[in-house]
Amino acid sequence: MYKKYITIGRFHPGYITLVLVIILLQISMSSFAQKGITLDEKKSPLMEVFKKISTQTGIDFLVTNNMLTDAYPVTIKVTNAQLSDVLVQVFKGQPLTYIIRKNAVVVQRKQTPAATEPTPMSRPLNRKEVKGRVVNESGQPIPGVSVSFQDTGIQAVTDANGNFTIQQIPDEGYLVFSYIGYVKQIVPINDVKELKITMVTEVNKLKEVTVVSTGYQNIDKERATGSFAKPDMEIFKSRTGTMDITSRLEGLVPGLQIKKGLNSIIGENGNIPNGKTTQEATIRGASSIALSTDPLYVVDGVPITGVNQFNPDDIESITVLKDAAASAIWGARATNGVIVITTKKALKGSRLNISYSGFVNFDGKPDLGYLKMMNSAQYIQTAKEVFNPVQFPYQSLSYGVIAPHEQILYDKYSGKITAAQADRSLDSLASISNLGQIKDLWYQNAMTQSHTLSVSGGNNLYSFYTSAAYTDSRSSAIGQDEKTYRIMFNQEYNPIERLKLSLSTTLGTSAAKQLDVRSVDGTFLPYQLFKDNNGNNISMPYLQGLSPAMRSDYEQRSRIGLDYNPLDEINYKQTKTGNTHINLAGTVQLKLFRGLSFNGNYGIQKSPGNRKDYTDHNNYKLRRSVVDLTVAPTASSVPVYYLPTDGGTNVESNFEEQNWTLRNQLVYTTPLRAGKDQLNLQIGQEAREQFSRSTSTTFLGYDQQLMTYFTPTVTNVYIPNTVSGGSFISGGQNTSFYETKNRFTSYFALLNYSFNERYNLDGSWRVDHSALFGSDKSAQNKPTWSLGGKWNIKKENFLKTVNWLDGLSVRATYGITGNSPYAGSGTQWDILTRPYFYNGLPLAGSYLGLTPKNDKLSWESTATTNLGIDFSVLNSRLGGSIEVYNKNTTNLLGDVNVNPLTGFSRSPGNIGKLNNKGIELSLHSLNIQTKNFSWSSVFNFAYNKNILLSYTQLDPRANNVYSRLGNSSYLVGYRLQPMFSYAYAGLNNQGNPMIKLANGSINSTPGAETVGDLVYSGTTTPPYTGGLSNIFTYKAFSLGANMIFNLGHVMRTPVNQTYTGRITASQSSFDGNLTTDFLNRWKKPGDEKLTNIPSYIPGFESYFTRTVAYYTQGDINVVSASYAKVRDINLSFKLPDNLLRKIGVKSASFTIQATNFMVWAANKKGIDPEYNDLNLGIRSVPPFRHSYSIRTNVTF
Amino acid sequence: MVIMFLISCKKDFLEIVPKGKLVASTLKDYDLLMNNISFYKMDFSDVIVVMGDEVAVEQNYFQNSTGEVQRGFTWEDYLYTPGQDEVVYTTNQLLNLYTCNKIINEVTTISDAAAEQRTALQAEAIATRAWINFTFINHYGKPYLESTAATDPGFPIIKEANINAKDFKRNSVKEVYDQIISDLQTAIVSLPPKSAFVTRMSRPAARGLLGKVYLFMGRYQDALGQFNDAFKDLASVASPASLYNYNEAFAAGGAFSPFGRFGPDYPGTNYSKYQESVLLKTVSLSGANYGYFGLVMPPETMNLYSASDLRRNFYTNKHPDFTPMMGGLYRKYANYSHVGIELADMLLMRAEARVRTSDFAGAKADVELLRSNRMPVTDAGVPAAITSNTGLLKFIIDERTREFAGEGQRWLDIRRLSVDPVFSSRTYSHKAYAADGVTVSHTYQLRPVRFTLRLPQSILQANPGMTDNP
Repeated sequence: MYKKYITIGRFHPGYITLVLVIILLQISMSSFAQKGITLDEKKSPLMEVFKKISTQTGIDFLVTNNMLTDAYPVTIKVTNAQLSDVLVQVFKGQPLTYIIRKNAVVVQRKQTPAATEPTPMSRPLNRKEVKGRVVNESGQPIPGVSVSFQDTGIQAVTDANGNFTIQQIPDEGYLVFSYIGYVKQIVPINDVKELKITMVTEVNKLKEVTVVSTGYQNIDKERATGSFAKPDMEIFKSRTGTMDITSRLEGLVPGLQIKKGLNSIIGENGNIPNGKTTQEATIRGASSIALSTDPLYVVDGVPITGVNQFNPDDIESITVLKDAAASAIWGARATNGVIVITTKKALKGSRLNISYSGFVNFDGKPDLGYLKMMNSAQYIQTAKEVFNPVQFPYQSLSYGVIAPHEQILYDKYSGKITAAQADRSLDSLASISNLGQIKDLWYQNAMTQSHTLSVSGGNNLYSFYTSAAYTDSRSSAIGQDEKTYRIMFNQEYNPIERLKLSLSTTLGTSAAKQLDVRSVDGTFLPYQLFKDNNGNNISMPYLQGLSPAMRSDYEQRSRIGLDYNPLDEINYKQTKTGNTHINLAGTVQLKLFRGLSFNGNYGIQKSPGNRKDYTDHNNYKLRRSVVDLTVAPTASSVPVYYLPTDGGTNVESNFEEQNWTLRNQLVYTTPLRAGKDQLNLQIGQEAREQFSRSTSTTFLGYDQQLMTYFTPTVTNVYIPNTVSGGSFISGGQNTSFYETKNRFTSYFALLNYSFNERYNLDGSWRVDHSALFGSDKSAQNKPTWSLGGKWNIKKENFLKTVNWLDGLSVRATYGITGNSPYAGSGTQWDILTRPYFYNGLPLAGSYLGLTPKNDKLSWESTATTNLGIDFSVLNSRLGGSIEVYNKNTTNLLGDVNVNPLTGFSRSPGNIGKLNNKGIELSLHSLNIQTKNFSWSSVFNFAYNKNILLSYTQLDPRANNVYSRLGNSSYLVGYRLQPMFSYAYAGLNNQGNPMIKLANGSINSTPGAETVGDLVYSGTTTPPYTGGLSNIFTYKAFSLGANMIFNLGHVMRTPVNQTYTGRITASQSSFDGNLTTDFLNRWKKPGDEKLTNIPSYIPGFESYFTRTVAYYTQGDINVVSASYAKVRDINLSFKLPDNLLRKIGVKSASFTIQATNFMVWAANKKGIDPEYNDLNLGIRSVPPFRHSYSIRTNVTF
Repeated sequence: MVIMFLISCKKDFLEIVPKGKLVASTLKDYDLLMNNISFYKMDFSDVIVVMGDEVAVEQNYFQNSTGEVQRGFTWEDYLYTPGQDEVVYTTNQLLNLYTCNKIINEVTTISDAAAEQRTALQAEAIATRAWINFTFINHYGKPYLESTAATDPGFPIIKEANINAKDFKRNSVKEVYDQIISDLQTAIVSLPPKSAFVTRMSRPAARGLLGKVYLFMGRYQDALGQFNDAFKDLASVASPASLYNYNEAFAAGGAFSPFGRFGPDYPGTNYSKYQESVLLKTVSLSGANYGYFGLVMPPETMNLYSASDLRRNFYTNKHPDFTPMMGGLYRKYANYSHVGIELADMLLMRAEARVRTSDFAGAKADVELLRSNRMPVTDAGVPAAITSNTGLLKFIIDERTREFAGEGQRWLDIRRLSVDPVFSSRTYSHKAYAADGVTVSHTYQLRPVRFTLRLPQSILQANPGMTDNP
């Protein structure tokens, strides 16, 4: 059997085009089957009729699903009729027409309904009137619904109460009800005078989101002019590897770049030590140099300072606002883009819904093997080679660190031990590896588990969503653990029809604890164990920098032990943090008159917290501070202690953050020209206050049990001749305070107009004032505004017949947004900062500093142009958008160079221009869909090019080779985060690196180079970013793989940095090891032909004889940092419905996930750019290699 | 809700003053500005300390010290490599100058205090400005020589607190000195004989400073008048600055006990012992202890002390880790150097002014007054062999070394003496000792051109028209 009919929807998109072409090419009016057709149908779907005709005649029908949704049921009774006659009857009144081809009927949409149908005037006179009301699923009236008689010009629109009256229509036929976001309804009107229509929300096949939220209004994506992007929430929810909301968005939104790595974690309020952090993110490139480039987070219409107080499971949807038209309504804080989060709400009229969602995520231990450090044998061999007791005499190291291997070498040098003894000792060190102990003793398996139980339901008067969640996250540092409990309660009341009230309540509380766990990894001396063979913890006092003789002297006189045992120390200090977040967001919607309504948004956030740091007196630093304030001239004299020798130091900090926002809006919505146009107008006012405060009190000699503490008898004096010399004893500064408050007021207006359903216009205007202490208010009178237009081309008549095209529109926007300077930075007067007390002199107080007067400091402002095309083809199986933007930031805040003779070297000012340009593409496609199997893809891609057009003249001290190489986040004329390098030219015959200068000469003399001799190597910020997600489903199984990529940027490769000085450990930290490339350094003349790695020179004099940075920061050590990773892979299984129904469960699914698989990295050296300091070239330890999780969702 | 709406619409909604910040409006605000730590505790690097000729280094330790210490000791042209150009001392004093100028220009316009109080505070700021300018001219201007001072480039005179000021030029050495003198003369009229605290400017301190300025200019008669007035001022107040009598202080239970392994408890180690200060300003000798960079006193310096001189107690022949120093080298215990106006300095300067104006007996009395507080009275007399004014002058200059060795004063002295006919023929050198403490591994000569430091690079780059010192 060959196919009797074809519905295009079932083919792969590429396939369809092919089929269409073939069929259209068969243009022939030659004979087709002349078999008679017999039909007897009553209100049968058109498709059924086609099938029957096809079966009887062998004629194929070419039709798309989309066309069929518009078709009316067919009533026909014919016997042995001609095809042409049958078709005339079948297509009568349909919005479709047809062309007969060879053995096929091609169905098309009617070009202009009015032209092919009789005009209303020419219709028969049997006219009637139909009235009715249109409501949504929860019974609420829907205003503005278009009601039309079939597809004729006879139309009506529902009013504010959902009522409509359509007049002058025939007795028989169909009424079509359409409204964006709802499924089109076709209702026969035979013998009907009064109708009640319930419209059902449209659920798109590809889950393409239809409503975007700016935080001020919800807009139909169909008509929104701005650049709005929505991440795939299924992927967002499945990313259980992290509870950080920002991190979960990675790769899901074109142009939203999540900075990876431990250096990019920022505290949510820098001044409040609440431990809440977010991964840094930028939208469409950084728009500021001096200010934060993080987006503004808005939850339920209210700006939020700590987005991670919310449970990711409570989030319904996220909209990312990228251009001015989308975000300008947020005014002076919108330049960095806005991330608008909407929490879950109940559906009205739905029955009680109970669901559980939970996961366990297993990270394991850090990937210590990633660091390429020497093993003990290599390290000892190297240490022997470079040991130099003349350059570093033993007696000059009394207060320095002398590592065990050095002690052996010095002892051998001084003759204390024989060469054979020394070699034996060194050989035994060389055979030890401490990596196993480090992994076992310093790390625990990191795990996170989270459980959320939610209940929702409601009726027409009241609905609610409530959830309770518990999250326990345990990091890989021993003893570190955080438990979080969260409750959300969202309610909506409709006491009377015209009034809607909602209240969203979030309560979260968390308790975290951590111990004094030091960062120990492969950078530590590779032979130093932490436990001996008998399982005892090993003391390593040399790490605290006193020679054995000196330490023993201190111990004897003070009678306080100065052992340093890192494993014991873990428990000598603990930190407990407790945080509470209370978040209330309420809305009022009151319909006033016709289309006029009042909207109010009110939000209060309060986050009290406390932190307790207790350090026991056994802690090394505390013991040391006691020793430093102990007077004991000889070992036999009774020590006089000025600090307590028992108890501990207790630091209690309390902090709170309190913000409120209120917004009052008047909204006017009206359909115009009988519903063809739509106008929405809003004006409003907003006020906001941010307040935070912290206090901290320190108690010495605190007894945890009795809560007693020590009060110093002498304070603020110098105690001479203590064990270690002499020291001030402080006292006064036991309590500290910090407080800040800022306020903002704003006025704004919004306009949306849609004309003929095809042309949409959006506009916004806003002016912000903030409480900038002492600043000139006139400098703030800079309104932000935006204007945007959209043309829905598909709705034009000339595209109506292009059947493969489901949607096509173009958008263009322009607008200004801002970025506000920090409070107190601009001022008309010199500002004195708070009094400061200095130990030692009885001065009554002073002012710590002075901020010189500097008025007229204003917001950075960014003008953004955005052009976009949205398209959807082939029955919406392929859709996407392409956007280009150009962002010009002016008035960049930065430090202006001030003549140092004024007393200041830098002062903030509005200087500089920055440009960001880019293109973004997002595509979603349903590649294959069969009964049991489907494959869909989402592809996001963004290219950003930023360039600093002008900025402050570089500080003369920074305008030199060292600073340009070291840490340059900007340079005029370059992309942000530019990287400069030396043009490396090999080693000379002394093993010193050489560079090529701009004039072509080869140089090895330090300081001979200028900035002009450096070469630009690229930027460390990836210009190309994006993600590709593929989801395969087979019956109840679904497999998702989410890949991210960052391309086009560069990094320095991790190379050894130590080429001089002693090879030893350093004080109070666990390092000292070298990377293996040090083994291949230049050692003798001739090596320069074999290696690029400079020689080792012991003394600091080498600073004047050569520049090692010629090599370490040479261009040979710059490589591409591009990479692509599969961030996560998910496999889910949905339990079959028939099974679930028996046990009373609506749905249940299980997902397993694995994360972090490097797919491709451009460098050949095994560097994961996420764990490499791109600018300095230093590897950091990845906190885990792969994480694994299992998740369950059950709905009852 | 309505209430919240009303609040937000109130006009003063945005008028909030951030906590911890203030705009100066009362006398107290301006007064507390002068308490700023940067006025009395100056943490500049040790470059000035290592530039005096009375010190030497142990090569073993010195070779691992910082670049600027090494370059300072060897009197190189540039002390800082490009990118390291942080002349902290100058930067801090320029900021202090801003504060002084702000007070000078604003304090008389406030209305909350009596006119005399305002004038007194203004006088204090003016005198402090003079002190700052005096240190600048001694860094960056040639030593004062009447014949060339009007043409020798000095340092810009800054009298405005304005961060947008741009047109700076180097005033001549003479102009700077004239400004300093005029500032001090203005201030002296209104300053109190005793300040609220020793870090704050007082009339005797300003007179002592003015005397020092005259001395540096070679105007010895003028200097003497100022020192005499300063001592009169000191005598007129209750508990003025007074000398420690080392004979008592070093006795058991005396002011400098306990004498532990880290030296005596004296002003060089204990910040709170400021009894001898007329104006307390200190710099910390950060390299002197744990970050020991090998700065030592060579035998030539130690030989200046007689056996019974108790100032020897400030030196040790042990390293900071108590291992012995080799070859007769010593190092000083001091952690601080006092660079304000010290009583000992005033006495020795008056002695110098007296002997230069041929008052041999007066000069002898002054120097013996100091010495009798530094050693047993029997040994405190000026040696009988010294009978000429020149002989006594040289003895007084040596006494200055004995009093201030290793504290940076010597650098200022050899600068001014380089234009004094009595001493101008002298040359200066530095020695670096090998590990045995005897062998001299390197010797460095001071070139006369380096009596004047080069200007900080940051200042030169911000002021393109400005010429650097050769």
